[in-house]
Amino acid sequence: MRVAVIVFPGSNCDRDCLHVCRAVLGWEAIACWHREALPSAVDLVILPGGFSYGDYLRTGALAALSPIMGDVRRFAAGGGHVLGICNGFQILCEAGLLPGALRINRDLLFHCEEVALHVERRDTAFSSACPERIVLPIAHREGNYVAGGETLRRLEEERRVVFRYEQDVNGAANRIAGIINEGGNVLGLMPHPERASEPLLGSTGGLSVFASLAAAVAA
Amino acid sequence: MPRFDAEVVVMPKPEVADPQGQAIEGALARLGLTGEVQARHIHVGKVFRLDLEASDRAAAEQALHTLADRVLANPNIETFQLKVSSH
Repeated sequence: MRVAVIVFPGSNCDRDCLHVCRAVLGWEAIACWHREALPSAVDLVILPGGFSYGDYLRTGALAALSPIMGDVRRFAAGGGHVLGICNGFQILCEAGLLPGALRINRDLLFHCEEVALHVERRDTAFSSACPERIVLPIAHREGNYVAGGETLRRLEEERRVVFRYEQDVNGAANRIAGIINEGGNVLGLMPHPERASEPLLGSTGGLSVFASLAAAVAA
Repeated sequence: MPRFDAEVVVMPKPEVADPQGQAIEGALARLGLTGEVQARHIHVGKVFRLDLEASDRAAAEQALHTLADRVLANPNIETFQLKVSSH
């Protein structure tokens, strides 16, 4: 497994992702600065969490215009797997690779806590190894998923909500925590699987997301 | 090339919840405005001001629309209004 973790100015979960990929999973993981070209022959691109461009304008909006995003678009269009975590999810929405947008939480607070997620489907590249329910940490102020009525209806009809909060944590429409694109190769997820991948850090619920990806790439 | 003063006002779409606006509305209510003055339906948006150089006003307006639609606003959740005036 060969992974590229994109580093935008203001990313701060890039090293967590690199650490989990390398030390926990034994994958080859490359940190890729947003002005560089995407490394060749990668199996997975991770857009990590953080505050790219200081969250200026809108979360993810300026990173969506970063030079690397052209390569990421081409990679995704070719069927490559892209995982956007937290700010990465916001970037994918702003880049138009996923529908909708993430707005400020309904209570205007930054939420940093563990939340339970229902895994809505386990036939995707990102969830095939997940149990029905996983607990992951969230850490965001803009995690309130918003989309037009027609978009929401389509997302549900096409079963593209992969992860759903058990409880309403931020006001997100339909308690959406993670959605997948039409092709099934791009996932945006507000909770942080990379922060829940080692017993030392309290929980390992996130490992099943990475295990799913390993299985998908090996297939 | 002619210069223009441009302004883009970005507002959340009416159907998108605006928790900031609601919080401010709640705070204003606590100011104790009563009787003939009531402040309601507060929405929080953004204003961008910029200088444009373009061959003519139509070109400036078109360029500004592109900037607003693709960068300054997110059409999924926001609407925008444009103003262009001679510098």
